[in-house]
Amino acid sequence: MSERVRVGDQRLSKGRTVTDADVVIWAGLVHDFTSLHMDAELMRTSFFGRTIAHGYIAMTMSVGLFFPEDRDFLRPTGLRTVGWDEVRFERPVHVGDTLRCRRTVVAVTDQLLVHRVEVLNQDNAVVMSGQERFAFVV
Amino acid sequence: MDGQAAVWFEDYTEGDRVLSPRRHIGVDDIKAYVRFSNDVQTLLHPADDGPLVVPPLYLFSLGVGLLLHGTGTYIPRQFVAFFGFDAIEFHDEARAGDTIRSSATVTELTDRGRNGLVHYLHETRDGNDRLLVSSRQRILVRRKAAADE
Repeated sequence: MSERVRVGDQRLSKGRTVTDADVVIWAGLVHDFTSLHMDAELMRTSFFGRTIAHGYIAMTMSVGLFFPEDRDFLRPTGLRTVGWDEVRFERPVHVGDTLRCRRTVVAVTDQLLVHRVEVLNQDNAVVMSGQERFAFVV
Repeated sequence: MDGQAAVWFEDYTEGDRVLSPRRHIGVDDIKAYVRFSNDVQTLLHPADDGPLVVPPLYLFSLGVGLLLHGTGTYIPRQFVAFFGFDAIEFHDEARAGDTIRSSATVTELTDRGRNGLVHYLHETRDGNDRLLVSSRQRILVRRKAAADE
């Protein structure tokens, strides 16, 4: 695998705009109807001034945004995800924000592949970051 | 904290544990997640003909979400901020038809001035107690002592 994938290889995904529907559907998928995400009236007087999307939505998009165009980059044959490190939700994501994901290969061996993952908003600010680890399926 | 609501940082003790309810994961759950996320690997490119694999990030996110409905208090009223996840490990696959349950155990408590950091170890297991996902998370919670000053 290390012959085909090199440290520094990078992909920037297409974009996706976060909608009210995304927030409600995600809340239902994981049973998280926390006021932070769902109560516009309460959040109007908060530090954020409005509701914020679940951070996991950005994390989830860091995978889905690469299908189908960059499937082989995201999921090389024979590899599966085994974990993540240093996942940080660095900025709030709001309805109306458009997210893209940048993935950079930071380590590659015959056994392991590591992507640096950065989800960016429309201002190119990082809203979520982390490192995803892949290993060969035994 | 077990059995009663935590509000402030001081309400936590190392070893406190939140236990989620059990949750069956059906084919419809997986399909709904794939429609939402566009993480189509399990539906369009399955590795075998067995029951659908639960996409790892869905398994992780659902496992954490279930803690909101658990015993004790996962996120207290005086919660300030998430510090993210220092590590997430996918130990084994879950498939359609599995039932999962999660726990969050307080492993460390760190003072941070007017606030404190609660360190959690999350584990999501199936009905046979097989460990599927674990993660380490820190959340920032207000200290009552600081609020009283």
